[in-house]
Amino acid sequence: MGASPYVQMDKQVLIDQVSILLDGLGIGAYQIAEEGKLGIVVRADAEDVARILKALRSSTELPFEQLIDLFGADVRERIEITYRLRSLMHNIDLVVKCDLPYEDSYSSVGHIYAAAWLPERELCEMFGLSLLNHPNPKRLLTTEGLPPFLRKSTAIRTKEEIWD
Amino acid sequence: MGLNSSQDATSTGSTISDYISRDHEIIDDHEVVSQEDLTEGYINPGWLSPEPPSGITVPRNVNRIADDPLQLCTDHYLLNVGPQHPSTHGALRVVMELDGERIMSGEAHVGQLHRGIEKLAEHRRYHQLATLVDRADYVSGITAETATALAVEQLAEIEVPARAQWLRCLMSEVNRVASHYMWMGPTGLDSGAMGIFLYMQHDREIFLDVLEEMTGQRLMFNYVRPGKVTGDLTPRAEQLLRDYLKIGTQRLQEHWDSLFASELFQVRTQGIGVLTREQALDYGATGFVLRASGVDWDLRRDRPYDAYNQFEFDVMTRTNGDIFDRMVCRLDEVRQSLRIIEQCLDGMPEGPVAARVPKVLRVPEGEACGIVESARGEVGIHIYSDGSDRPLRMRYRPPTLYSLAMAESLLPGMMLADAIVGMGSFDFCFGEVDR
Repeated sequence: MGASPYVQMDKQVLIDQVSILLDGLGIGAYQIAEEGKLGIVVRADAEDVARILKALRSSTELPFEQLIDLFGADVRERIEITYRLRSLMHNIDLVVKCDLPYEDSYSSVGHIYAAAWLPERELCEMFGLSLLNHPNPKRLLTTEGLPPFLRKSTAIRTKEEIWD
Repeated sequence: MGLNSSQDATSTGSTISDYISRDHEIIDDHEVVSQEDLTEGYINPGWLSPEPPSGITVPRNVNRIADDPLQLCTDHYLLNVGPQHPSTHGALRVVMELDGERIMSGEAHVGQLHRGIEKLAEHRRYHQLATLVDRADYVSGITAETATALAVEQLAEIEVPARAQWLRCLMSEVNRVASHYMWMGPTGLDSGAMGIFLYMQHDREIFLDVLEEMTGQRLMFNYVRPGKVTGDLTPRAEQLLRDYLKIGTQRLQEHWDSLFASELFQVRTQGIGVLTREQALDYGATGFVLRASGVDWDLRRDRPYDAYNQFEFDVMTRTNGDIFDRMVCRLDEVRQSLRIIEQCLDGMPEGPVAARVPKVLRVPEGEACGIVESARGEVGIHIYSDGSDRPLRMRYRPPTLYSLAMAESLLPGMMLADAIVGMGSFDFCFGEVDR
């Protein structure tokens, strides 16, 4: 019964405001919609993501102060990268997604959200991407020479062991 | 007092104690010994080698604080801390560049506990995920299990019985208290207080007994599953908790008096390792780190899950963001957790503790994210489903991975001894960072 001091922003208002913001930046190719259980999702090109995050962070009406999570997923044709942003003032999360082909390079957003420095290193080692614009572009969890573990093409078990 | 007097001492067969007592006699006789006399030449106290090895010049004025600081300039020194250190739950290796005792830079090397939990999860059915996430944050496993269950329930649209929701809240709080005690004791050790560790372990044992009674395990609970919990509240567990609630306030006061009220501890921790509000937001801080830096945010209140919207509790914030505030913030949280536990025991609704969930759960295609307030911050489990009985991808959002970047950024400029306490104050759990 402890009431939250933050009022959750209406989702349609958020969609409208983010659309106005991104149109103002001159970003043409993006989609914004409510996707099932995930909330509001912005899908954009990989090269536009840094500009989008910077605008969302520095906006005065829509300050997304925090990058809560950054990770990738191998969705069998490409690697999908997810940024989960949070606005404390409006008590709402926004998911920004972009796609990267395999063996591509990933450009760091740590200068926008410092939270990204470590997860980016993990993302790039786990999906075999090369990390650009990062002060310490080393592997985070595993040693040199190991395959990118979270790719679907990396098998952790032999065929006989897989019980299906 | 020079070379000759000490040689006299050895030649007459005097012992070390004779030598020292003679030295005292001189001082008792008020013989004025000037600083130049003390440091002139090489003082052979008699029990060391008689002569300095040839070719080695013994520095003059070695015991004096130089007027010119440049005389005491040292080379930068690389120090390896870890990977085994008591202030880290798990294995953390930090390579520090030191100038004297001052840290110039530090880099954390993690991954010693990497087991590939996220990859293994792609080969597990949904009800088997709880065993994996237990082993990520092995000090407070219930919260991670709850996050997994919430994500799967969102996707599969499972309705959880009210009693199961209340039991999840109860066990989360029990585990939160156990985890906070596990952290406060060793942080006392880091800052030089031995006794508090024993008292904290004593209290933690009670909560571990409750967890063992309810789940059968002390750390790897496997208790919260999609749509249910695996066991109902037992009379013994309720009795243990009721007994502790009677003495809880007094015990917290004792912990306060024995550690936090100590001036030595306050001097060691206040104003050190300060994380400002802006830094905390920038580095993605959640949980007690964010609250100690003055941001009033708690997922249990602001994004209520399970039955948390039915409890009365306060969100404890502090303003300074230093080590002391992070400690006090969590002691306050223990008090609030005890309040929630009491409300849980008093108002637990009757009914089943499990929904009817198929043995092989196939969830519809899509994505969902379950977020909970763990003892260390926000744990988020993000699940991609492709419609089969296993997740296409499971992401475990580890709060202490983000804390690690904060601690790294705080290291430059700290003293070495403060850095150990400072890193301890973020409560890393490396099972979680490395997964």
